[in-house]
Amino acid sequence: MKYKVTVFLKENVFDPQGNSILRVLHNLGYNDVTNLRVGKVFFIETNGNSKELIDKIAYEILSNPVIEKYTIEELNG
Amino acid sequence: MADSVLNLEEIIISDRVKKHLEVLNLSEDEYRLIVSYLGREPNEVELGMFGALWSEHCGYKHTRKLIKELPTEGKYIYQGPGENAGVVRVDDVAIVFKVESHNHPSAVEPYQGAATGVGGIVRDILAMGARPIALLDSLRFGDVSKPEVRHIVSGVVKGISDYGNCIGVPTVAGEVYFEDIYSNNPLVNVMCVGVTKVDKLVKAVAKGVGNLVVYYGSKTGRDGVHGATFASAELSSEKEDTRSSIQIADPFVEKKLIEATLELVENGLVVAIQDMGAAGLTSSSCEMAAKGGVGIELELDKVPVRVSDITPYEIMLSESQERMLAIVEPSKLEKVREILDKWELDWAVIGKVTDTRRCVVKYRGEVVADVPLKYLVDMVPTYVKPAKEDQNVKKLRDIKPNLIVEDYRDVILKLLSSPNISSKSWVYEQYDWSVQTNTVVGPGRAGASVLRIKGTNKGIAVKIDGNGRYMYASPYNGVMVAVAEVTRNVSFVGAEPAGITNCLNFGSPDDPNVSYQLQQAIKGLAKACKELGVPVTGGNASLYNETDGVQIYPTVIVGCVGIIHDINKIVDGVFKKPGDLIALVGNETKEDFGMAEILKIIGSDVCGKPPIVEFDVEKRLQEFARFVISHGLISSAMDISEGGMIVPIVEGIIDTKLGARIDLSVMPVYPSIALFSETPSRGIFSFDKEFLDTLKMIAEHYGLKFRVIGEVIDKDELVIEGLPEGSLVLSKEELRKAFYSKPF
Repeated sequence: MKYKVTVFLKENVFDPQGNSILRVLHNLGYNDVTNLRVGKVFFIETNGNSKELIDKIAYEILSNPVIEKYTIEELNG
Repeated sequence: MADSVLNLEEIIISDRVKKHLEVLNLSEDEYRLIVSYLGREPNEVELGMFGALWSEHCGYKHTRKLIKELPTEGKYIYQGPGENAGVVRVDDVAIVFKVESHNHPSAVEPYQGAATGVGGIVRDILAMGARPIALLDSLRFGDVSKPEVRHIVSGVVKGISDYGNCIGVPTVAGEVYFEDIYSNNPLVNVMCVGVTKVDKLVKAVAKGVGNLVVYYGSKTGRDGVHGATFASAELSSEKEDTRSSIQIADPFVEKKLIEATLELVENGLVVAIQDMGAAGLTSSSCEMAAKGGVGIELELDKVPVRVSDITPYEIMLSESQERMLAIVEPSKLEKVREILDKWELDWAVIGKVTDTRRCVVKYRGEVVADVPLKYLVDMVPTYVKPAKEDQNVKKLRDIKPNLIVEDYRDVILKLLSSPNISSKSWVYEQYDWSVQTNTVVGPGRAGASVLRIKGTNKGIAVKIDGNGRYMYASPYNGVMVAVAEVTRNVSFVGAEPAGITNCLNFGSPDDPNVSYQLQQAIKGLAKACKELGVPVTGGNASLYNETDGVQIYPTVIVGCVGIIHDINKIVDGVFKKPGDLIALVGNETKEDFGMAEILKIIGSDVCGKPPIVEFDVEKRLQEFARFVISHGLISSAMDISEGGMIVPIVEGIIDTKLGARIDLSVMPVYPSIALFSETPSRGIFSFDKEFLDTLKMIAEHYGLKFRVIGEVIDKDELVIEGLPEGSLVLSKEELRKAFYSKPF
């Protein structure tokens, strides 16, 4: 199976990187952009269906559950 | 609600309020007190403000009465406790310093917790108008063989290094200890030192009715709401619910904040500044106004916010990082605007100084809080909780430690490789300790680190210490050892101790044993500082360091700043040339193995009485050290503490091509006592032979034991003679391997 894990900072957690990019956008005149958050994407391939395993990995390794949340997507093919 | 005559007993506290009180860590009695102060029930925002300002972190509920005993006067003191940081002065240079804890946030999220801890203390120094020039950190972690402890260690060290390195402030010194008791409650105490000219100092005292309240830095988000109250509450293993209080550090904004603030101060544009640290906008605005005897009015609609649906309650209590609050005269606003815009900081005028002595908060045209400042800031209820020593501790203290050393080689190498004794280079090599180019003696070379004060021939020595294991067995005596040690370290590079800052790390004061520890420790701190003539310039209290009822060792961390009158007259602890003699100077070596590190190494029970400082000897030793250093009579000096005399001897040769030959037969005690005893008020000095007679005479004048125990040799080894098995030769290679072994 192929999986796509997306990790984001939780909604209320400050994102300094996103903030900096937003500032650059505003400096360049893209004033219609009002919010921007940075996250990470992981593509993982496994033998067989192992959503549970992916969930475990996402929780323990790929994300910092204290400040981040994640979503798991199954990809076809 | 009711403004008729109140019968406090009859106030019915609703479930909703009860829940809120629980979150805020306020008791029902305290709620009744608030009601009696106000003559009515507080609304939610007001209650939140009380909760924040009456927390231990801001209000010093449990320590305020006790810390009154601490001496605050001294010849270098310029600003004692009560400001954002303490100040000592030499000529027209103000040296600003303070230590603060960030224990609870670091337990939950080590990286961000430690990083924001650095940011917070840096802003305290900055708020005084001083440029931060040095950071020190004192860290306590649990048993390093546990993976969860390693996770905390790595996160904390990385957090400190990333933040400190980004803002360009060197981390010049520190200490790290590992004890199982800190496994769930690590301690992260960070000290920052700044310098400025005395006439450029700024106070956090709001003045001038009609002056503007200027907010600048990062935008306000929901992060850290209830941080100050959270920091004053016990952790439980169920951390899920507290996760909303994690603040994220943004060191690049901090760097801009530093430069912008210093530019505002340099141009005389601010009346007062305070950082928005614990309890954010609430504490900074109310404390500045209360100190100035004025009132303050805030309009929350003007506060730059990150999320649009944030509530006034959240804005008042947010602990978003990298924010400052300044009081500015209206005529200077234009210049302030220019500077803040130049540094690309978010900023806004969010209120004004009034003459009401109240804090009035408005939001969308409504008054959402209106409280007399004296209730929030000055009339904080204070407690001295019933104290009783835990009898188990007394028992532990009364057991005589049992020291039997069979294989000296094995014990020495094990001692050197133990995580509490071994080199901390694996930590400080992750820190930039030389940025700003003030660092003359960096970490690992001497007891204290030395920085020059540019533009003068003066310097400062800085050090941070605190042996929690001693303090556990005897809070009173243990703290005195820490004060003696930190000042000794400073004196041993040639500096005169000028001021002490401290951080009180304890469990919950509701426990009688903790209350006892707290009272005894502060008594010991006061006594030691008085005896040594070093005043306390301020500090911080971190209580409730316990998890599921298991309390940390009472750990008082003391930071010391010493003045060096001539930066060219300093020494470090490294031996310099073959033929130099090595002497043990100070108190007579006694059988001091109470709670000693060596007991752990040989697998003996860690017990007994910690050593007792003889202050008259300690004082004379420090005076001796400063005298012989300033007269250029010695090549190196290093104090003796945990692990005993063997440690500074090894440190003297470890990074050199030199060796040492030590003869223990000149000592009037058993070799095991000579090598490993932790008797305070002693040091290892090396010097050129030609000064022997002079030094002997001076030591006699100071009434100190002076015993030549060996010499520096031109060979890569340590020779120890006079052992039961004859002499022992340790190669530098095996010494290095042991001393530089990493704990994981």
